[in-house]
Amino acid sequence: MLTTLRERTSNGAAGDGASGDARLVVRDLSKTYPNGTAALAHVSFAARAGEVTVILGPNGSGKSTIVRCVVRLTDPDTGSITVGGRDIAALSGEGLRQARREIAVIFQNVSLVARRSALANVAAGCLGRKQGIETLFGLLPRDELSLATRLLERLSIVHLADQRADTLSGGQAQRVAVARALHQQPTVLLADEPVAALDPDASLEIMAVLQRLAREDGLAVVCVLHQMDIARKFADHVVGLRAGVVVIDERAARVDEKSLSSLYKRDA
Amino acid sequence: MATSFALRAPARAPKRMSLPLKIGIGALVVFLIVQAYIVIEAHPEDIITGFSGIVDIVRRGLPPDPRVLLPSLKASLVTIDVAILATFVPIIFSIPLGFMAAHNTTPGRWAYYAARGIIAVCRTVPDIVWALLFVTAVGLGAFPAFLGLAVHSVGVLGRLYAEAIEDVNMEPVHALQVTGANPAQIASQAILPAVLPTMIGLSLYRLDTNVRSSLVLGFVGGGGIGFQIQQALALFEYKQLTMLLIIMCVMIVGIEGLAVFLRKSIS
Repeated sequence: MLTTLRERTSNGAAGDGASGDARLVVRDLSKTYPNGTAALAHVSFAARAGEVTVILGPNGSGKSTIVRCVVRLTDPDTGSITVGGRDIAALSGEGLRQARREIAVIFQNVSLVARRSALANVAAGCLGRKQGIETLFGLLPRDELSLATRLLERLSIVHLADQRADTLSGGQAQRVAVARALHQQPTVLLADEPVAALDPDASLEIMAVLQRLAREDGLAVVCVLHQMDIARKFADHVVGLRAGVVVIDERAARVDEKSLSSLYKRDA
Repeated sequence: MATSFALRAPARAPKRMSLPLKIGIGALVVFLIVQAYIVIEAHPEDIITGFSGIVDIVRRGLPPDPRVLLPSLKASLVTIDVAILATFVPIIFSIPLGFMAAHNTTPGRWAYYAARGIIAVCRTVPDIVWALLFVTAVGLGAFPAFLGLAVHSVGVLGRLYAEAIEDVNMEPVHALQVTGANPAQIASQAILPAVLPTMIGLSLYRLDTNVRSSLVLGFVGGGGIGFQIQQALALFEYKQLTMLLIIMCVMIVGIEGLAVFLRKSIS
């Protein structure tokens, strides 16, 4: 089962998810950091609309580097990242800024602006499409604020709208981050270890929210995880990484226990 | 560089300092202290032999002369106003300079080095030298004192703001960056809210420092209570001097107290 994807993608296909409804297609992505660490080597996979794609792998396997490369917080050395027909890896400046609007990211650690309210944090999701000078002073159109309120309602945290972000619990803060991501109106939702800092109950809640968003909103949800049990429960598609190389790229139902366990074996 | 907000390089694990290096650093510190003692020609015994002179001046300065109280209030106001203006006007210039001079928010290498250069020039030239330069341009008075102090403050605040910005948690910044927000939106909506309390605290600390500097600049023609102190010293009016020193102490302690209160309120 542990076969590298390079063989399967030699003809240009992006592995298991190279079908027509693929919202995010990563092809032949490589990244070596200036200190010589090869984080990613010819990584290819695709994430489909309406599905949860889980990226699994041990520490240092390159999971977070993929997320950072997809939104160009880190520049890949080679490869392409296609979202909405545009190759994000080849864009810069205004083109990159426009393309980023298609992809929302939920980070592992609290990524809210601490001194602002939950509502203001959620509403900030629209900054990509609202560029007026008034936005520099935190002034947003009424319809954007209404949308932010509706999203807080949808995630059952509207009662926290006026509460400062730094007073929220981990689970509440992560829900606000999800609401902000939705306010961006993306087609792809990346979540970099969104439950790493949460207790088991809150972790399951957040994952259920992400799964529901994939099903109801047709988002392509890509979720970096460590927890195999959560991956088994929520993933439709599994991408396994070892030392920057894709070793699993399968429908979740077809990934067996042995393959998953092998990902985390030191000598595998 | 694909992003406007550059990423920090991964931090390397700190190396343990070797024993010879520790001894070397210790020896260097001792050498610096000893050479400083020799170079300044320190003679502690002179304090004892000159003590009677100090006692004589204190005796001649008592009781304080209350007649200078009212005239010195206006002079005190000048000193404080120079400090206030020389703190708040530089803030307008220091905020953009701070963003340009912080490696995580600078729009480019050219901007970084230009901002760092401006900050270095403003900061390394002492405020008193700037004030003397401005005296030649605009004449004596409080205005050149303000200009001198303001230029120096631009450098000091610019550097402190840049350091505060460099310490900001970048996760919220990246979160807004990936929404497609432009750099100005990211600066105003993610970075500024995070660093604002620190910036206000630093500005209040600078106000506190500027009050003292404004007083010193009075000695070289900058007006205010500093100028009155210098006049009293030159005319051997020690009773007036004592009264002015009391006013000065009250003024500085008052400003310090206000600054501390505001800093605590913000934090």
